[in-house]
Amino acid sequence: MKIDRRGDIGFMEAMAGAMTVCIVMLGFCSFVMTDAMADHTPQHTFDWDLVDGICLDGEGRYTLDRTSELEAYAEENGLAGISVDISAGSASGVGTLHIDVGKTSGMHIGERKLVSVSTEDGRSVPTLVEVTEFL
Amino acid sequence: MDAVMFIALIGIAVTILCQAGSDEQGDVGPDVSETLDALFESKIDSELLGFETDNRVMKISDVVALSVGHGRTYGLDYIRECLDRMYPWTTAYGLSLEYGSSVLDWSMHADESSSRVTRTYPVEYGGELVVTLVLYG
Repeated sequence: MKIDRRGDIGFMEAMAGAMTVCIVMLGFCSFVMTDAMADHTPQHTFDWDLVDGICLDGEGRYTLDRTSELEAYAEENGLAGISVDISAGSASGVGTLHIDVGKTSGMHIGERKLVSVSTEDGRSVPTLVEVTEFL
Repeated sequence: MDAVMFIALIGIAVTILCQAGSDEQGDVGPDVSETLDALFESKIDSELLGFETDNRVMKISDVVALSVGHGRTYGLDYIRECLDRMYPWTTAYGLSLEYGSSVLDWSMHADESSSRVTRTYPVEYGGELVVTLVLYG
């Protein structure tokens, strides 16, 4: 780098410094934007409110009356079908409920959630709800 | 020289942002806490948890605390089955149960965890049951 007696660098050196700063600044801005986009990209998850209202009767059977809501959800989200399996542990003596909406075959995404289902006699049974969304 | 200092400052800023991003990945999702609450705050027939002589509706956390405190196994197979069904892949989770000075844990290992949650449940006959669930992979 050629420096004159006053310490000033020439035009080419100044341009090289300015370009370096611009390139680094561009890279930094790209990094910040990519990081921000990753945080704000919504990840599809099942709307678990759709399976609210699971009931367990005195005979150990699950019931859920949300078929129409599941059909509407599948249509809104472009799903071919939805399958819901509701079950308790094997020692509970409680039956399994299976609900199918639409076409339940092919590529799918599965999610599961453990919920507590209350009964009229004061029990609350840990219940596994498995939802399979067919694409 | 000014350009070098500028580049150094930008590098420090990127490092800080990366560090902050990696710290957020260790946050516990709300669904893990909900899983523990749904399991340990449930009330079922004690007969299903191994109490064959005195069948009544009991909180799972109370039964598990009794097992941990007295070296029994009441309720442990039940919660293990529920968690195995919730997290069915191999070495998916580790569980630690602490009641008073007694601790029982299983499947805890040194692999890096994806999330860890600790919940405390009051026990009907005194004390608290401290439950820690660690998810791996």
